[in-house]
Amino acid sequence: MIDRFPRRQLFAYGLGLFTIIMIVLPVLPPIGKALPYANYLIVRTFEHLIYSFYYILVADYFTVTDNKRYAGHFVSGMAAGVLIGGGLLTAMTSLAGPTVAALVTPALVASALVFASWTTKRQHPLDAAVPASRESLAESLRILPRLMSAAMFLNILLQCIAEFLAFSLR
Amino acid sequence: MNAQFRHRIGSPLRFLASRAGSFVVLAFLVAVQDTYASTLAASQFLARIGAQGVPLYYVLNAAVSLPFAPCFRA
Repeated sequence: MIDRFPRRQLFAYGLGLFTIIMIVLPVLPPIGKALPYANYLIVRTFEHLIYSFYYILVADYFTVTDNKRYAGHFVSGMAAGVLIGGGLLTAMTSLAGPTVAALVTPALVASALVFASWTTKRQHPLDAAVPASRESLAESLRILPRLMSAAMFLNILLQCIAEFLAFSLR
Repeated sequence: MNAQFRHRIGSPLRFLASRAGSFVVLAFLVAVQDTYASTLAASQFLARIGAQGVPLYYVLNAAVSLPFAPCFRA
């Protein structure tokens, strides 16, 4: 499905949708135990999605050689972002509390969205080929049984079990 | 002295204005918002549900992530 739309649009739509969700989630009334689960799941899923899209964009805008040359720079940028993001959250929660800290999240996501839109408009991808695949959502999901039986699935399962045992989670 | 100072300041600024520099800034912004949002969500989850909810969360995470992965394969 990823080949059906321009990648920069998918990245912008992903960040845009995440911004809207981050505006709505903090103002929702607490619905028992469902809301914390939903909140955590949505945020983590979008986190994986956005990082994946970022690396797909890098692959579109850089040659393999340039990608290798600048990989350290990209990772350094991310590492600095992790430090600043964690520090900012610590400062916000201690100064203003978790509710106000949650209201800052959409602004941070929107800043990434604005910069991503500006960058991808200013720079052009190396390969602007016509999308190769026109497969539908149902066709995309056909790989699911094969994916479930793949070694990666077992690997993640073992990792989860090891983590539960290591942290004595029950 | 002035030329040396200009070179020291100018080189990183020129790099940030380049294509690679733009993607470094984008990586920084993506990491800031992802770290901020996921840490906040994790802390709220642990505060309201507690560590005993983590196993169920992992199962739900796998159930949600698995259909997503094929949708976004190239």
